[in-house]
Amino acid sequence: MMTGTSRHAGGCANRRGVGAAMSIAGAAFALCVMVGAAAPAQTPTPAQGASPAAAAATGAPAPASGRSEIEIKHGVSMRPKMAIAVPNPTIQGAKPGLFEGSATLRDVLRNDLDWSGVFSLLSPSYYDLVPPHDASAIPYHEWASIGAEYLVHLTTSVEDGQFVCEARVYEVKSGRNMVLQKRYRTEFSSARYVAHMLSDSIVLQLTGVNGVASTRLVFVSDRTGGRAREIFMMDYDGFNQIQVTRNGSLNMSPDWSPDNDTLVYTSYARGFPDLYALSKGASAGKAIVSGREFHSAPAWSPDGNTIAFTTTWKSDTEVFLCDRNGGSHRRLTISAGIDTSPAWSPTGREIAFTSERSGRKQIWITDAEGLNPRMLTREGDNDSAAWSPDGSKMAYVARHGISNDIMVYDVKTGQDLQLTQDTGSNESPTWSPDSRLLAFESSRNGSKQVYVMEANGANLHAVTSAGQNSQPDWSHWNH
Amino acid sequence: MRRSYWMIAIAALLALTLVVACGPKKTKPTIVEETLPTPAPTETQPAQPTPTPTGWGETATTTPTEEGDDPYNLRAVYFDFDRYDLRPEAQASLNRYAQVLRKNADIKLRLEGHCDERDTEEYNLALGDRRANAVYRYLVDLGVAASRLTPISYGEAYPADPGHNEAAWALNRRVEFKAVR
Repeated sequence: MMTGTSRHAGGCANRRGVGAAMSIAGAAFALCVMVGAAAPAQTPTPAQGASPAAAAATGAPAPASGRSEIEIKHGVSMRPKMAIAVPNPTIQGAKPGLFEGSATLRDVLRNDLDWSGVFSLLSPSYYDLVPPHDASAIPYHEWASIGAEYLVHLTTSVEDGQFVCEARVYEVKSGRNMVLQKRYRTEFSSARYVAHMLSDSIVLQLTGVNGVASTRLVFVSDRTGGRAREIFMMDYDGFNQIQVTRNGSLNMSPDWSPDNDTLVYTSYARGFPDLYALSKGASAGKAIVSGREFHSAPAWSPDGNTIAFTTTWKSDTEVFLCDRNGGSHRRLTISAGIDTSPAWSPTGREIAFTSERSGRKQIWITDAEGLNPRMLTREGDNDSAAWSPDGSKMAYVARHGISNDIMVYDVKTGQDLQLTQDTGSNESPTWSPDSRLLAFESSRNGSKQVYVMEANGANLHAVTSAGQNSQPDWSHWNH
Repeated sequence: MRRSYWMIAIAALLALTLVVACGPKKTKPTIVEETLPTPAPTETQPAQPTPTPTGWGETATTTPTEEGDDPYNLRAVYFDFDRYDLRPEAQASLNRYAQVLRKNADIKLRLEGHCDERDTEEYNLALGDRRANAVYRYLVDLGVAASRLTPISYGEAYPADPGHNEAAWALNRRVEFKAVR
């Protein structure tokens, strides 16, 4: 049960993703047969999505515990989630703010774990079946009997006016080991950020790949009114939405720099579509590529040195590259018709983009030097490519009739997964840094809003509700 | 324990000083994090304060460009879905507009390209630019001075008709003509 501290409309744990998965079961039957036949011989790694870069960044070894089977559900291969219980914190003392802080911590932690793509939150309605106890005498068999695999025991107190939280995570089923112990101290107003850090630590400890509860999204909103479309920023769960641009004009396509320090975006602040850069702490954005021609769709390279963007060249629309200050322009594409929406591969060696050169919009891939362009999609109408940070998947948008759907292409298997169906128009997919989640915009409830879901389409949540909100971009891991 | 108490007190004092020095900006909250040993071997996590969104955001508000008006009643020209070539009706309109522009040498026009909502925002921004430029080139070929014309795209941001049907979409795939000084 949420106490209203998270801001998403539409409630929690919307299981529409399962419905979508079921409805495409027929299309994925071949995959089901293929994987089902191969399953006995498979030994997949527990740390799905772990790459050498991610492991180096987190510095943690792969854990010994954690599931390793892949279970086939509704024709969609889904890793079974670990059931985790987060009972009420043990509150020590009765200082002002301690109860509210503890409730916030509990609710945000439950939300983070449930959204993580790794855990399923054991419903708190079952917790009353376990008799009350303190940390020294945990009845593991009782927790196991209601289905908990992991248990988070929280103790909160006040020390010198600060909120203190001690967390112990226990593996319930086998060994009854304590797998993680953490202590946090901060102001009461930061209780939810303690929950985010703790959730990420639990995910990291049990999978080897960090969670994304401390990451953020930027997006475009019309909520300030009139013709203005301003860029906003929020926590990944929709909390703490703040306005970033204040130029009263049309702003679009925000993109985080790899170090999360600078946003690059398209802005009409000077009357024409220019590329702007706004750094954290700066009081105004700065035009880095400007003029009366068309500039749009900026995308930072993974090393932070290059920005790909779309502009006009010889009366046609092409993808160009520039350095991070907007200089040193060089052309990437050459073809009649629109080329736009560049998206870098995680290695920085390739760029995917949308091109009409074959007659209809398709996803193409080229080397970062502009050599060797080749088609990724061949049929239908496809746009808006986004590489997963671990390099294993490409999300994109396919038009079906009058609506757009989010698709995920698996590089290894060559399979296409359709994540949305008959639910309005769905666009602008963007990956979480751990490649487990996707944020995107959808008109399914009548207005454009930003949603977050798992990379297989399950567990969908709206994270915005005020005005119309679109074009999300997910931040990178904090450095 | 006493040492960490002093460190926190000093950190709090420093934070307070920064708040005073930097004016009305919100204090960045500090979260002290410790990882404690568990029976299973685990690496110690270094304490990292969580970045919060404080520190982000423009403060200046600039005046948006004036929109211009349409005193010569140059009505919009329309396009097919996903197309930026000029239909015969559009060409007929532009032939007339070129005459108006020849007769009134002081008129300068902004050519605003728009799209219906169906494609992605980024693609539509490019498509609107292609539409505006198709009109631009046609008028320039008819002898209108290029310096009097400014093509610009707004993509799908400003529909003429907010409906979600074919009739509305047809009205949104357009180039509008706005007189500017």
